[in-house]
Amino acid sequence: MRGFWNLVGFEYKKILCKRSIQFTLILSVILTVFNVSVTLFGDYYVDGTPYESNYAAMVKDRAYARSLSGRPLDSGLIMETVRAYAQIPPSDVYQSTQEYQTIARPYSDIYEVIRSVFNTASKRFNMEDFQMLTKTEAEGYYNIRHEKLAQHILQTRMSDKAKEQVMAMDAQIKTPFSFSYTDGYTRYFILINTLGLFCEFVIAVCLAPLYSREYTSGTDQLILSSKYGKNKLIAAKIFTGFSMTLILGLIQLTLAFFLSLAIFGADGGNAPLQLFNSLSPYPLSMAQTSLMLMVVSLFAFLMTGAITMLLSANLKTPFGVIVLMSVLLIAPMLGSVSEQNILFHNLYQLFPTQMTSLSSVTAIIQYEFGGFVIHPYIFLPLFALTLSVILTSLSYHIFKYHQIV
Amino acid sequence: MELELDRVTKQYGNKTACDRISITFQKGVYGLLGANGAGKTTLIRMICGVLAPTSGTISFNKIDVSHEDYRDALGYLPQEFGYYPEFSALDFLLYIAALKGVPKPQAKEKAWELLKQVSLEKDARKRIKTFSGGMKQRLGIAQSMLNNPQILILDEPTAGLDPKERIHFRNMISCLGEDRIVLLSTHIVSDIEHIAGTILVMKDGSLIHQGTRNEIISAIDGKVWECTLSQSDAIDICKKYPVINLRQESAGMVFLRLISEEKPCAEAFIAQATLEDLYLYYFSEGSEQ
Repeated sequence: MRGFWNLVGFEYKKILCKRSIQFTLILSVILTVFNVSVTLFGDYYVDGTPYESNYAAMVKDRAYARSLSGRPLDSGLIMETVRAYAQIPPSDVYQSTQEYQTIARPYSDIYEVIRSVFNTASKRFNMEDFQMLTKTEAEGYYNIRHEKLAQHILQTRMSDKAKEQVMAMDAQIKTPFSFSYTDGYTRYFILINTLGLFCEFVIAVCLAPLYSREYTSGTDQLILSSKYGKNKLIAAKIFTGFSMTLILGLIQLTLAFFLSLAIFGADGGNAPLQLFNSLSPYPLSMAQTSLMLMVVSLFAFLMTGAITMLLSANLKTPFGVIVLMSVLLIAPMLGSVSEQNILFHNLYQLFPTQMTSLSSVTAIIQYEFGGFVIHPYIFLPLFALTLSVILTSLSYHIFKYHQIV
Repeated sequence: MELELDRVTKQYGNKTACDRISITFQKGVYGLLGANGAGKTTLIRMICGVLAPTSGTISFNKIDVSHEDYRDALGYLPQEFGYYPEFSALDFLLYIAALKGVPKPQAKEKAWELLKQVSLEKDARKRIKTFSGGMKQRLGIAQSMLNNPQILILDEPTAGLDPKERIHFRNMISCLGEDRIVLLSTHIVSDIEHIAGTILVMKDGSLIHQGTRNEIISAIDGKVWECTLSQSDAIDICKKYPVINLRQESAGMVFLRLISEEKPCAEAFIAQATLEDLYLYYFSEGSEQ
């Protein structure tokens, strides 16, 4: 290891001394803070007029939700919510009514959880439908949820074994759900995909010059003719690339996570994921899901770093690397692939930006190889790791044998 | 101490940049002379291990060019010297020292010593982007010597240096050549003439001559001529022969120094050949030598 850490230090210096990179890092922190808190800016409008500030609305809704936290989401609580909503008189914008604001609003989070199960592909379960919900329907809430999920699973083109495994996972979910205020976590789930894109872009900007800059500046000749230029230096570059990726990723993910909990509240860590996505078959709590998302995102970042390093070793300019990486990161976010085409759907989830979304990590569609069923939250990091190892060895080889012509 | 090149060839498609070059370097200063495109830089890059030969071998004391120990013995100043603009001169030398495996305490000591030698001591902590071309070149020379190399390869090292710096640098190279192999490639013939013990002449990818200054020059003994002619005669002569020097004299007469296999005119007389004459003899436009 003699001299290795010294070389790593210099590689960090080369990256961090660049003004464009310093600017990008500062901008990414600002964007993270902005994104987490943006929903608190401005006012909550009712019927076209400002009713209260978004921050005051969040504080009020949080207090309402906290007052119901810990209660089981059973037919009793569902009917209590129905009765509260039944007080709302007919109106074009029911949120503008006094009855909603004073009687029903405290139950608004529960209403959303219930409604998502009763919604169908052909009909949206609206407020009027909810007001008419019967006790029998309320008692059948978990059965309806189960049937809806089972139907969804059966309609997919997964193997029977995979379908059974997903159903078995769902069977482990404890019902009735224990209601809790979870906005701190759910805000994080909503944001992580966008924040992941920011982070991956920052990684691409920071690592784009790792090799390509040596070509453009002509320092490649000095490096490749030096004692450690074809071995230890490349190892130092790779270490720098991955360690910087991990540092940037951890800063971004933990900053967004703790900021989200600090602003919206840290309640609900033990609450089931189904309070956010009622049809998710994963028996996970909010805290477990957050941790899982962070881990998978870190692997996605490592893969982004490895792809960037490979392009950097191949291309002659950092600018070219950034352009290609931007296309690779942004293009997949502009489209989607149907679950019915399992191969393309599963391949699509392997793009770095897709990997950082909750819908990919906790997708119903599983990965299957030779009779083995692998959950996405296991397969995605495994794939990212494998691809990173392959791409890294390729970039090592390319730089080592780079010819000065 | 032996740097051995055995039938080293480099081809780019149909073009042969270096053609079966075989030579053994021992302690001393070697000057590599050749026109643009002669293959000097290609040869140097192969010796430095940054370009793989198409065929042939390069080794130092039997250690192959691809081996880490070979690179450990090497100091290299490329023709187009790359640097990191945001690094200070000292940072840059410490980085290159780290690449060359020089331990940290010795690296600092050596870096300061070399900065002093190339007169950059006062600018050691300034960013390289603020340096002039000459300062960057001096920094390049310093980096090449950080590991006290046994093989020192310098491609156009005096480009951008003022005359005083050039002389200082030439003297430095002369001293360095006492206990190592120094290979110097340049267009500045006088640099080679003053310090190279052995001169290598390259043309079209081949080594066409090698030897001491006098041995090399002997190839054109009796072929360098001087004469003073009228304007019209001088114009005719200039069309026929490669002219090394042309000077307007008084009363419309012109002094010419030229190269010719035979006496170019009745007024001509043989002059003492120099390395510059030799350069022109081999590399003048249309030369078939």
